[in-house]
Amino acid sequence: MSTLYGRSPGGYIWALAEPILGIVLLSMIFSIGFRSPQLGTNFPMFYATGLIPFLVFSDISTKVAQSINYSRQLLAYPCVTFVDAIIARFFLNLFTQLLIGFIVLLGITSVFETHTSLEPTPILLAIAMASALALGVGTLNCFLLSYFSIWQRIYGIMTRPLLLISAVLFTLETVPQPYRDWLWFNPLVHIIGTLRAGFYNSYDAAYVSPVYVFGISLMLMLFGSILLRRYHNDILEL
Amino acid sequence: MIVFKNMTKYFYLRGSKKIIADRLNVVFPDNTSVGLLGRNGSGKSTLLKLMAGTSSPTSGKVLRKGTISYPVGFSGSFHPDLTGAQNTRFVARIYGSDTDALIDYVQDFAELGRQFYAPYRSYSSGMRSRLAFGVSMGLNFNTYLIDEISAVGDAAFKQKSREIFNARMKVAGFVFVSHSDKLVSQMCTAGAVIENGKLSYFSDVNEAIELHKYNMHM
Repeated sequence: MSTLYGRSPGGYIWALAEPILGIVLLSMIFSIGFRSPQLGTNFPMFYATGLIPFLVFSDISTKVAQSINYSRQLLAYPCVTFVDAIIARFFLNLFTQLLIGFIVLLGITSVFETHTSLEPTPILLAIAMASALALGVGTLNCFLLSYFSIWQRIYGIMTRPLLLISAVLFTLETVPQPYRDWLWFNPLVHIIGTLRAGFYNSYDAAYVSPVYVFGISLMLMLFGSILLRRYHNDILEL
Repeated sequence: MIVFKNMTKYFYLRGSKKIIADRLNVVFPDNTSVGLLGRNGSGKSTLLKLMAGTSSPTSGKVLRKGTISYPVGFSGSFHPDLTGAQNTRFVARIYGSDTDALIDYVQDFAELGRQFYAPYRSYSSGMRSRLAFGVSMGLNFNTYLIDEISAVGDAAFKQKSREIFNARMKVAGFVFVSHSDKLVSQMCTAGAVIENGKLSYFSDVNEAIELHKYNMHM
């Protein structure tokens, strides 16, 4: 933990700033153009339920992907393996992100009248799907990133429009066909839909398929760990 | 004890094949301190990694008996953003040793003062060596792998390190990588020279030094 947040002053607090600034910015821009968000009446709440799972996923997957590069020194001990590094970084960032999500959502509900009622089952399902997907993407990226250093840039460019196509700013139901069916294949759409179903009574996100999200996550995880197992010693020698 | 059994190690560096070990059959016996000599880039540090198990051989086997340390050196293993104390605590935990006892030992031995609680990246190379040496001597292994740590500091500190080293040598084995012939001849009884993927082991350290000098003048 010190290795991650230790460098910048106030380190750990900065992790809170990103989602809050993002939500404030989105709420300000869109509340000028529209009368009410697509669900409920409160802009910050609508964007928070989209942006928070998105950031949970992108933060955990990035941090997990960097675990070998980040903990390179500590992997010099024979009894510390890349599995330890990945698990440690996964759980540290999962708890950090959940804490942040909790603080931000609690803050919004106590400041605004959001007309939301919480349902634990979809919320927990959304958390489980987001962390599984983040671990899967992170594990595979950990291999690709450590083995081909150019991958960091390629992945960065590829995922640049990810925020726009993940149904953060809108709900999937409002997207015209055939784009709606295309977007369905983005697993983040399922995660964000599930979380919103947990917050908004009127919304059921009928399109969500947890099997699809967990299936993809498991496949990525399996693929990534096989490659890492085969090549982790070579990576450390590069 | 560490045994190389028909052990080969090579990797590709910018497309060209780099052979570190070519079908080596060598035994590093218990309770012996072996000086490992070789020119720069001949693969001394990689050999230590192979002994420790952080690197695996391309073919053949590395057999180990007893507990073997991680490669102790100021180049790796400590995390730059952690303080000396945090790094020490980390090592104590992964080796199942008493954290407070190791902290006290290292603090007392390495004489880092308040720097012990500053991030490792701010350390000078002398301080890095002292910390690395202190931590490794605070743990109990059957074989210590020491990479390029020479005695640093003032005369009193050198004397203290020498004493600890000599005491430990009676109960444990050492593999000692160094560039300094003088240090190797003082510290080690046996020697080994790596050159072009071949490792020659001598039970008399002076013969190893002779061969190393001969190689270097070729």
